[in-house]
Amino acid sequence: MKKYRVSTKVVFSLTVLIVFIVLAIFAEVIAPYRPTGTADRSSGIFEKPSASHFLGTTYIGRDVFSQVVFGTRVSLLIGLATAFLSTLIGTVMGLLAGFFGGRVETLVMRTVDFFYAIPSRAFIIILVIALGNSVLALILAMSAMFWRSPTRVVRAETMILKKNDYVEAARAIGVGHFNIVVRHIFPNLVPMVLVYFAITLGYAMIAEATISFLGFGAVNSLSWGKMLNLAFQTGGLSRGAWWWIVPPGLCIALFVNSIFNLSTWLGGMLKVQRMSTI
Amino acid sequence: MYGYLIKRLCQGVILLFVLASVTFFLFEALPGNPVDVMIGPGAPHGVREALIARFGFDQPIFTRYTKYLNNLLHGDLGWSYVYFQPVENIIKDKLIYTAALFLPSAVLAYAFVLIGIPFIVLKRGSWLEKITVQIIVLLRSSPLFWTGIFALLIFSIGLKWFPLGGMRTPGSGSSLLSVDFLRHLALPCLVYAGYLVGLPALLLKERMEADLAKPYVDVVRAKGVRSSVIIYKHVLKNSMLPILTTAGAIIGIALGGQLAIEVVFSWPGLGRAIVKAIQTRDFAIAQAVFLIIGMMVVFANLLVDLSYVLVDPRVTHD
Repeated sequence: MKKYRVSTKVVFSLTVLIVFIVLAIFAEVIAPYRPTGTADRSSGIFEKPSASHFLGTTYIGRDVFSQVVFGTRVSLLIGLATAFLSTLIGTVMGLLAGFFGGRVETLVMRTVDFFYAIPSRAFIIILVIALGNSVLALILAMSAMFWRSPTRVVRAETMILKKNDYVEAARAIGVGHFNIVVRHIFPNLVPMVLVYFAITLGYAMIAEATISFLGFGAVNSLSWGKMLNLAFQTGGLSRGAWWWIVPPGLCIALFVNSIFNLSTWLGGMLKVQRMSTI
Repeated sequence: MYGYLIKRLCQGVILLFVLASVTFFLFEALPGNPVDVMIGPGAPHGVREALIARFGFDQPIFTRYTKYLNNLLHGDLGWSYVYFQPVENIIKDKLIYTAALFLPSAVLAYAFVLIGIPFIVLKRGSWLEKITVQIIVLLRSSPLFWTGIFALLIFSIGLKWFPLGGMRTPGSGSSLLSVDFLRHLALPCLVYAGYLVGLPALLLKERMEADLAKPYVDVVRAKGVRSSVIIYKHVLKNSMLPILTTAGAIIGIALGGQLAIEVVFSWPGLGRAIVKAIQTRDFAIAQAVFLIIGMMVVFANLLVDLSYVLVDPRVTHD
């Protein structure tokens, strides 16, 4: 077994990821207070970090640290769901376009071109409103935009893969289209799809944060982006409430940065061709 | 070659048409009627219906669709029910203000990429390279609005070097070339440029590093040319192409970021206009701005494709 040293950057990124996943799963145990609901009467508003409130309090006295911990779960879930859905749709569409070619391909690719032409943020926001401002709406709206990248890449790769001899051989012995795609083409796509899943996860979390920040996110849940929206709207910035502003954004930056680092490393390990970052 | 150009132009026109149509139907799908913005819930019976009839909202959707397209072709962008003015009046200035923020930031970003990245490639393997790359990735991983708020926190509130946002000091009426404007431009421009740098920087760096392995570099070095000259004069020119091809994608990213930056820095541009319009249910403005931004992206992509033909004629043999 070859000795393989992993760079510190990758180890650090992996650690960050694990920490956040632990936070998300064990939020109830880790957070000292409840993130929402009636505020603890003994806390003041806009309090600086202290022993009882590690990251201070918000504009109505809620504990920032607890909100960050619980927010991990929300942000992560939305990101994962979006990444999963959009990668799924993208892969299927890419396979269809690449494998069948002709009119199917034109239809799919022109649609993808359209989705590249329209202003993405604005489109997602409008779609979220049209679908009702829920978490599900957010996931669906974001997926409706993010499926465009995997489609292009999967199609390109499928077109290369289908020229292989084993595909021709399978066709010669009468293997149907569906089986060829599922058994011969798709397994070769898995490394690329995985890497794209990771990248999409990163971008989905940023997009969710931005949309929530602008006030168009899910109404009933508290993600990191939503925290920043509250901080900004209630004058946290003018008050210099850095303890409220810095942590949520820092979490997003750290998490997404780690995701990107890991996906680059994964891409190298699985020998996936360098892909442009969406 | 001309066949390709014509084909591309036709595709662009079709895309614009589809864009306008989708915009119309997308906003039709939103709940609520613009009339409700005008009168509020306490209006007497019949007023709402009367207003709906007056403004033509009770007409069948296909009639309204054709009317909408017709208006667009005549340059009529619609009527805002919140401001009670033609949409044109409201967004005219905003377009200029958006450009006033976007252009300097884009120029700054590309200046950094074209000057800084070759330098980094020159010093590859050094800690400077590693740090720079990590910073660039970090800037790309952080949500742009947060980087903006963070910068405001440090430089506006903490150090008080820059104002807290906005484009000019209120009431000063200073022109676009004044010091006051520049002071307000500085922070959003820097933050925005830092964000825009992400994609082209990494792309160029990768391309240049790949090129360094090519034979022509050895030839030039054998001639005795200095490393710095090799990098800037020879390798850079050959590696610049991917930046052009991805310019379309970069513009898409940029316009997405424009929204966030304008909201955070209270910059009176199109981005903030559309956010505000959606918040106040002023769908006329939202629709118009959405269409304008979409059109800009289509035009930009068209320009990129057409200029790419000039650069690499192989493209026309599709």
